[in-house]
Amino acid sequence: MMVLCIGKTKKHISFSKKIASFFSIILIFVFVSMNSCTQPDKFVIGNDLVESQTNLKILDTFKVALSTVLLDSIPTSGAVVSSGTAKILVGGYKNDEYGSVGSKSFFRLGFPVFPTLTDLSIYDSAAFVLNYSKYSYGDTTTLMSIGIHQLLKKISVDETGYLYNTSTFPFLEEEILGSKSFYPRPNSADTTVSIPVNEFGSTLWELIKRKDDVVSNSESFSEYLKGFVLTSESSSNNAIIGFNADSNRLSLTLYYHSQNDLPDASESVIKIRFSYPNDQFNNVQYDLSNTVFSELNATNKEIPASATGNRALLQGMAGIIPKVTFPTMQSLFDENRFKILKAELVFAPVKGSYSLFKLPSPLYLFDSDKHNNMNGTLIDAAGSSVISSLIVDNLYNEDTRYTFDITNFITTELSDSYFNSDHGILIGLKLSDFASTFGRLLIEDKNPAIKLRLYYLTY
Amino acid sequence: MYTPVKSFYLVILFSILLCINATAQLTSSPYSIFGMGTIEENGLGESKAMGGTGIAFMSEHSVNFLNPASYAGFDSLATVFELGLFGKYTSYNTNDKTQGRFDASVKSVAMGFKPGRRLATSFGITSYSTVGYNINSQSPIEGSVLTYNKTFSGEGGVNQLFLGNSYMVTKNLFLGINVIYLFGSITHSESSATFGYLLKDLTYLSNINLNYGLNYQIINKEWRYNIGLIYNNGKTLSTRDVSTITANNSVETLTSTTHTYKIPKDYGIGLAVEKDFFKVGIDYELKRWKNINFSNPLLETRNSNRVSLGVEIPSLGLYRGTTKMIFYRFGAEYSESYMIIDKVPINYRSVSFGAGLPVRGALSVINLGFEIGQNGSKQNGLWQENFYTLHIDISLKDHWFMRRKYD
Repeated sequence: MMVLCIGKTKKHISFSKKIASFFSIILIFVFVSMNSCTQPDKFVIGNDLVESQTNLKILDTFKVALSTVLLDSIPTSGAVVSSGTAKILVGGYKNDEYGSVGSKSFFRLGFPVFPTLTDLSIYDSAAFVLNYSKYSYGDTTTLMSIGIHQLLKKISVDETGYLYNTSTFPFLEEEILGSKSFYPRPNSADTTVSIPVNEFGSTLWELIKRKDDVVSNSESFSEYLKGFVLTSESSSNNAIIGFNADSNRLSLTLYYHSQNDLPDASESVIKIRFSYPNDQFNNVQYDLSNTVFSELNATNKEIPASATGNRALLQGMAGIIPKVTFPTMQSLFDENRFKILKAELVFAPVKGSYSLFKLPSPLYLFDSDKHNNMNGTLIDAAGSSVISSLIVDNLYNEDTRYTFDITNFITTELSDSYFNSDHGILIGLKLSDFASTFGRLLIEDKNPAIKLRLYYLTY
Repeated sequence: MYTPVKSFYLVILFSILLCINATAQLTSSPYSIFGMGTIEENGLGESKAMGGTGIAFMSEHSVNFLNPASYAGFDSLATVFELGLFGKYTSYNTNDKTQGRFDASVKSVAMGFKPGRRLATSFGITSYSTVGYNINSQSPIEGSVLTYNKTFSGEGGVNQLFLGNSYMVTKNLFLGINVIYLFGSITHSESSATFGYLLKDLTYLSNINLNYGLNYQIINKEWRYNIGLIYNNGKTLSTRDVSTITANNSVETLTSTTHTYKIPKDYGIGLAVEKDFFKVGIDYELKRWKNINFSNPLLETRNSNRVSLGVEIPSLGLYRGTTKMIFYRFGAEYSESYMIIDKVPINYRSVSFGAGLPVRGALSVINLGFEIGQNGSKQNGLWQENFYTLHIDISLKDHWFMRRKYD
């Protein structure tokens, strides 16, 4: 505009004013026309004239190879599951379809501020006091029996910083500090379960009373206590119960009173509280011997669904996880011009396998390779975790199915014009749940078979 | 002499504006799905209120791009600067539904002046054709009972950047030529929001074309008789095609198919009679589209015809004969487009009226033209477009070439 306004005479100035008003008019028109270019979506007139260059079809004929994989180990220590779900899991459960599972839980106690005890202080009793975490798996109506043992070796994480479902620390089965039989009430958060350990408590009491070196500092105290393991004491246990693993809700409590106390005076306590959450872990046992998965073991870590009655097993905590690969996808490249616009993985749970338990939902997917490594949660193009949507057919029990959108996985794998058929997907629970719950699922692979549904565009 | 430089800047600036706008879309019609789209007639400015008539009219108040010989009519002292805008409401009617939309845009920018007694020059930019459509369609997903919404859209068009000269051979005979640089881009695309794909076929077009014009004037007492002739030899446009497919948020360039776009041979004749400030004219124009083939099996081409009639009447009374005089204009147009779609010829008819209003002193004029018309037919599942267009043409005159003695 500066160029336009350099006119010196009156005539030229008025001309540039005219130009300025022109600009305003143009701008208004450009604005109006831009607005008018926003097209109404419902405009359908002209439909008959268009010649479509694109064709979209659904292909679901590509083979999906389903198998059950046994992972070497999964971390179960507090650091993995710290998001409020860390828990002591103890008990066992037997099932002919899923196999039997059991859990022992290892943990350590902290170093408390001990009170000064006098000759008048009288020891009464001691117990491990546990609080229900509201998690349970199995039949909680039967009598449970659990026990507590002291470890012979102090718990410490391995070089990875974790402890696993397969980790263990030595203790003597026959040397039990205490045990308890009870009818579990897992949903009653204010109910405690106390395992009396009076003899063990008494020994500790003496050490505290005489201010032994062992109780003088945290180091020597933890060398003395080393750690504990909660065990399932009866083979007839048919539930696994969760207890909170935090300093407020798990402790070894010593009860005492003073000789000169009034009869109705309240009892005094010494609480040696749960500590070192990263050292807490659950050791998991499983037994598949009476199931179709009986061949799955540490040396035979993957079995195709065809060898296990056309089904695959997911068992949280045990590291048993279904895997899919897509062995025939390379033949997509027989076609020159195509795009996969959407890819869905669809499967049904085995009928009748979820009458007692709720189907786990949502499920998560994990990137895997030919060594069956769990290489991180599968994400979509926006970077969010891919999770399943579950449709439950309550009426006919026919059409219950899980669906995953795995477009990003498929298109990324296709992007270099080569489909690596070793690149697979593990079907699991959310990682923290997989490490802290016994969620399970049987995937059907025959009626109907697991499917990859491709929305396939040619142009 | 910085004023011509100044006006050159102006035209460049407006041209850029127009180009920006042209890459969006000027008019919209699903009929523009074929070839270069809807062919815009060359009548600018005041001819828009006279059915587009103007082959035999001389350029007086504005640039008459229809016939390059007409530029000789410019006032020898004035520079004409002209801007054409329009707003158009169209309702699209099939046998069972009606839909409407509004479009508005810049149609042309032009200027003209007379550098010598016999020579007149004009340059500017206007559109040759526009593509603008957006059609939604339900397409089946093969291998299922499902359908999905697919959108076909087209945009762009061809612009004409022109430099015209007219030469007075004798007192009665004027010859003219427009050297036209045709350029633009046309995009046809197919997409689905649901499945996130877009198949886009973008063609850039360009070439130089020449329009020739002749005007012969006979003056008999108070009556002036003009005959105008126009011709262009036709041209094949150079094209560059870029096809891409966008899917899963990535773009892939495809080996493209080439398209051929041709400008047809064009013949036109116009007659005009003028007395004082009154004038009447008729045009006939023929474009030889018949031998230009389009690959679309639905489309058959024929030669296009345009006939139009226009009248201009000055206001009576006080200002008659002065620069404050108002001109009233009336006209009608009938044209048979080059398209026969599915055996149905696509024809255009309209009536128009308007006025040339002097504003802000003597030399500037706003030409308003209102056009009401129809295009197309409802036969064979096609549709008829009923449209109402307001053409606004702002014409500035400035005595840039007048040398003032007191300067």
